[in-house]
Amino acid sequence: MAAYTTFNHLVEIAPDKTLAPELAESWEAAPGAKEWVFNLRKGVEFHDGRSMTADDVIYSINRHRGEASQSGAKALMAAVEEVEKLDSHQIRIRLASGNADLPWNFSGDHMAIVPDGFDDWMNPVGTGGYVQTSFEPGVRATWERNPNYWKEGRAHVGEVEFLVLNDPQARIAALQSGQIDALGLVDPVAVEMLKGSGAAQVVNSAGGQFWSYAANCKLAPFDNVNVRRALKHGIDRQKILDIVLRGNGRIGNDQPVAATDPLYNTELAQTPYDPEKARHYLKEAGLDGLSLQLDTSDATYAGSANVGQLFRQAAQEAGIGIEVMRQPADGYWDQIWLNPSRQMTSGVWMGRPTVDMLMSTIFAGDAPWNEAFWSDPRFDSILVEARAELDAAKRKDMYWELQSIIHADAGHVIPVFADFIDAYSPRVRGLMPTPSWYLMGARFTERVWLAA
Amino acid sequence: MGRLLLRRSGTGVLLVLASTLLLFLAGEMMPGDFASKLLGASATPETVEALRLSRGLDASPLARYLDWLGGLLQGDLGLSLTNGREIGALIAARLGNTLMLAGLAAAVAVPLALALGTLAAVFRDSWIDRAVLVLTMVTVATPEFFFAYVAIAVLAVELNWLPSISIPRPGMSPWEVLQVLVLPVLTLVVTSTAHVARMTRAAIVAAMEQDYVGTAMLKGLPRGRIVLRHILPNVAAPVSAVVVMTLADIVVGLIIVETIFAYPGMGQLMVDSVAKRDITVVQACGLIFAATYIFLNMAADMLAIAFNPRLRSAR
Repeated sequence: MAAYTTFNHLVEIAPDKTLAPELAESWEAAPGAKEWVFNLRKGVEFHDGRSMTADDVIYSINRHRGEASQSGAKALMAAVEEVEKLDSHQIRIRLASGNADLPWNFSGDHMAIVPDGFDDWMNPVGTGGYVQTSFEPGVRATWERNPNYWKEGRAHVGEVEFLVLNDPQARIAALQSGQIDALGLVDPVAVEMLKGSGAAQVVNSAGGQFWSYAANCKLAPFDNVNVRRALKHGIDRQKILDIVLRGNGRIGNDQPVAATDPLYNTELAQTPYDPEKARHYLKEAGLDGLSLQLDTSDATYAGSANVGQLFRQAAQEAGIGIEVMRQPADGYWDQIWLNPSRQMTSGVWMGRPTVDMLMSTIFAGDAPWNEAFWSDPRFDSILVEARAELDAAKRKDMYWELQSIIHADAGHVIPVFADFIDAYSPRVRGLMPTPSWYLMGARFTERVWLAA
Repeated sequence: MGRLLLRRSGTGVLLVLASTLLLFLAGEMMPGDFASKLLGASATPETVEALRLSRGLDASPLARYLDWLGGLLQGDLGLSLTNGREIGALIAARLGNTLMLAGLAAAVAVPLALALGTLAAVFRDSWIDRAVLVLTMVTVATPEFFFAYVAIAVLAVELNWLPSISIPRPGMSPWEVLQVLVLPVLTLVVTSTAHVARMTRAAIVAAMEQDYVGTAMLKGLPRGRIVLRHILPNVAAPVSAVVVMTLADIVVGLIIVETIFAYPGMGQLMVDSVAKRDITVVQACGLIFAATYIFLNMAADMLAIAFNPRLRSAR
């Protein structure tokens, strides 16, 4: 979040989830999407008074590249072969393979634009709407408004302070007692209480956050697609949405693209809760019944064990016995999740800027977080093909196809998409739902203002 | 007595040394890894390895332990794994905050507890005694986090008298800092007073059964004088031990209180660091907590020795 307060990026994800220019004014791809030219904005100053040029942008990109890179964006930049300066405000990027979504890669918080040669992260210098004035790691950080900010009609607040509040109850209490103005990651259980108290405005952003159950497709009997289909028909999605999320979300359809995404496949039929059909699929797989272990943990989301119990109850009707394991939050991601010997694990995903990033991260055969150990050669080849496709209509067809393959075949049960829920004090203005993340896609400091 | 004290301090030093080994082993055995935590959603095997290498985690555990111990002896706590900064500097400010909070809590809790315990003993079986008994039973049975949440709900959210977040900011006046600290101090005082008060009462009641108190009463000495001049010096040893152990409890109880009130002290730093798997910081914090506990324990023993005339004069 600090990344969007101190810094700008080449591009910005707008509240309607389209890509908007930020430090890049425009961009263009050569056919095949392997070569890209970015035209940079002129007259932008860093907080220390230097003017931003192509050299700064090239330095900011190259920080994440190369063998020794420890950057979280290294994988994202792995396909970049060369970054070349064309003139003082124009660069060309050459990729190893075509990527029609390349500009989206520059919206992430890692891809902040910093001055050439900069490495003093305790005293960050950017071009953003606020200048950082103090930083105590793990406690607080403060900013004041950048008087020279280039963006019109943005960054309205005089001073910004971020506080680290680890305790969920303490966070809510801090908002209710008027000590903070904005709060992300609000528990659905607290929504009604906050709305009723009159001390807060609650903003729900429907978006890409979903909960997942991943059946291990490498382990019998989950290597049989009929068993996976039985599981998908053996879960009561509406009940989970009503009871655990208290309506703050939408039901899922076992594929990861959110209904808020422009590439969402609207023609995919919703898989219903149908115990009879689940039994039918088990029979197709040659089974009379099924019993399995499901790993849940508070490391994923609050109430994950309860959701597991709802799954267990519903699946029982279909002759599927689920033993819900409640694993300790500590160490869950390292030891249980992605462990090839587990039958079914719980996960949570925040969505990704593009459908390609989402599917390449979780569903491609060689995906780093292929939590269901699923792979499908046809899926993989369409995914690569779609990545380099610049034609919007063809892209749409391909991504719809990919969604339908995942929906029918993959090892994922995706019961619900959970809203990003934020709460603000009554004096905050300019709030709007933003599908990309909590707190207006982490960009609220730039977009809100305070009532006088 | 000198030799007794010396032997007791020697044990303390050995205990601290043993705790460094335990802390290091615990850190080694902790599942998970700081690099994957730090890189989070973008950790790949290569970046995790690069980050681990850059922090010197490729050396053998024994070499790293000896290296750590060597640094400790020179007063160097090492570097944070997560942000590569000096742990000494990281902890210095936090330790000051923690000592301030613990000190304030102790400054209120100890005199309060002694007064309550003495009153209850002197007016045994009166309504004062009963009130103290009930009050201490209730507070001793109340977990810190529960009292803290109730205090926040009533005093901060409903009445809006006090802030629920206790982060002192630079440029605050001492008065404002005190205000910020009221809720955590209150929580610590309420949850730590009971034990000392009850021990004080029990010790005084036991002393009152002694013959010398009966003699003093028969002599016609006023009750206040009996308590202050004859009883209190005799109960000093057991009570001081309890007081010191309560101080240790306050320091340990801080971990929960600091987390709830987001107070930037050592406890919160330690909890954060565990979550981030910043093992070097966890070890440093753990060591300071362990050393505090051992030192206070030692102090309690030494006070007992000092207050005991038989041990005082021996050898």
